Amino acid sequence: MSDALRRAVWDGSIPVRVLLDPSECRIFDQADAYYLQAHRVAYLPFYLPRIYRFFEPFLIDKSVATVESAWFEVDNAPLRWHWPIGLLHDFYTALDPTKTASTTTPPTNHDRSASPPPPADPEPGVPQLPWTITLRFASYPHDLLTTLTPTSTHDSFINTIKEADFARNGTAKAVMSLSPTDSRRLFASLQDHDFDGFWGVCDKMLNHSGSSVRNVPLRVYNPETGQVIQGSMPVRQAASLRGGDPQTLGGALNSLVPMLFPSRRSVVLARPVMHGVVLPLSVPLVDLMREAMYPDGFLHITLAMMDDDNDNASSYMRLTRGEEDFMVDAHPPLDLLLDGDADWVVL
Amino acid sequence: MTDTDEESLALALPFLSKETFAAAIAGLVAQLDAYAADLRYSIKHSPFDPSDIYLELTRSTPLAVSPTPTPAIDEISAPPDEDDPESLASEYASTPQLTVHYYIILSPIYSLPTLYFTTTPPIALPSLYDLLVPPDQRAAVAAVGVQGAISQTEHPYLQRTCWFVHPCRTADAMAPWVAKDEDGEGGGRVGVEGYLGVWLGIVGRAVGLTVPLRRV
Repeated sequence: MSDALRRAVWDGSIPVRVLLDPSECRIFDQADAYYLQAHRVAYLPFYLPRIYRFFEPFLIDKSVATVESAWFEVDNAPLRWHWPIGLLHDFYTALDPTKTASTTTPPTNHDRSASPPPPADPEPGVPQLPWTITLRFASYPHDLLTTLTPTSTHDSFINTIKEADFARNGTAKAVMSLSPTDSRRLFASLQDHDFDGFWGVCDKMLNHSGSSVRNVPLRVYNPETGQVIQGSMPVRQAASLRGGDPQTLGGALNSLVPMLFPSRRSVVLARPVMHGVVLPLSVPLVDLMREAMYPDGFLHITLAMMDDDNDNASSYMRLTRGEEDFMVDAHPPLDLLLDGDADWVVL
Repeated sequence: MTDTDEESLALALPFLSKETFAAAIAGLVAQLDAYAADLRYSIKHSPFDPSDIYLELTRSTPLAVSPTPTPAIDEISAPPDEDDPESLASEYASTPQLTVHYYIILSPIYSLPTLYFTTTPPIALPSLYDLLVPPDQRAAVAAVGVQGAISQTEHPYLQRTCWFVHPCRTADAMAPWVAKDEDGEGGGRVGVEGYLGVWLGIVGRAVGLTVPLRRV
């Protein structure tokens, strides 16, 4: 398989508008907004230095408002440093890609448009672009946010990589056996957004000799409750159930979150979303992992709840149809994910 | 090897399933001498799924090493009012205490118990080493991973920031304790009931959680 899908995931990005919290600004409410195109697979600390430099002239007291005390929030929720930006966006917007995005004209970095202009009642799940986040310095929410240090993002990334490796192989030997150079390159290439550098090392882990991928590490995020469910899902279906066939995403979700995924073949109550698109339930889990996992090795899947009237009225029909359709093709082309309007780059 | 073999292998000690973890907690609680250890403990349930249980242990230790130099008392507070007993008590009775809440939680990824903890007052990583990690363990704990085996993360159930001891070495550390005899007979030396007692001696001790156990 070509690496088209990996590249699409790698290059997925989100337009972001950063506002300085008015209480941090020398001229109340009058700081420019900072615009950037943020990579979905990257982490917020990668962008912090340039964002800080931009807002430096507006800060009331630079000795208090330092890079070390900076944090971001959206709708009063502090943005976790250690979640990839794509996950943060999909989680905090409760993104439902089946709803149409509303876009505003892309402005430049020196338009004076600092006051947030969200439309009166944005419909939940509909992405408002650019995604607006607020930069703050006072009252760091230590209870809710890990402390940002020069090593904390790297530390958390490597811990997650090890966890993913352990889930896949039952040991963390593949990541432990990387040379120090490769180990450093894994994080450095992510910071530099260097696709070849990253996948050169990552493929060594995924295809580590002497270990075979047995499970796929998966985290499912419910934006309505904040619950995170994680699991290590076998790549093959249980012996009693069409034993030996590759496990599908639908099968994995049905087993990990049965209340929300009563069917393995059809969405009933929630749609699985990753990298800004709805994932097909029929995709083999191990292929999804190899082609579309986040760089930390996990499939970070957010849920778009199907709560409107139309959805409820038709969900029973969908369920019935789904269960009849038992002999589903177990090997749909993964390229489905790249189809037409399933646009990975712009929502 | 068939799938069935692989599944049963994955759940054999030192790895724990949800069910054997619950049994291991019951085994530990039966051995805990809470009075001698000067700690409180309670079995908690995940707010999301009540069938997910975990053990919370709370203990206070003297805040013997100051994280930062503190100003002398007379610089920050008025002289005590000698007619007010509370004022005297607050100055003389208490050496500052560090309260540590430990949480023993099953990792669904590692299938191993993982030790999370928070402190009141909150302290920074270097002070954690000074206050909680025994001197003979500091080098070993600091040598793991990017910045040592203790990292900050989110509590899986309480949705707040906490520390945790990374479990990537736990399986290797526990393996000799649960290994079968060389002739393959007699089973492991430590079963599910005694599992967390041994585990606390290895992982708990590294961050100051030592617990005297009764023999049962």
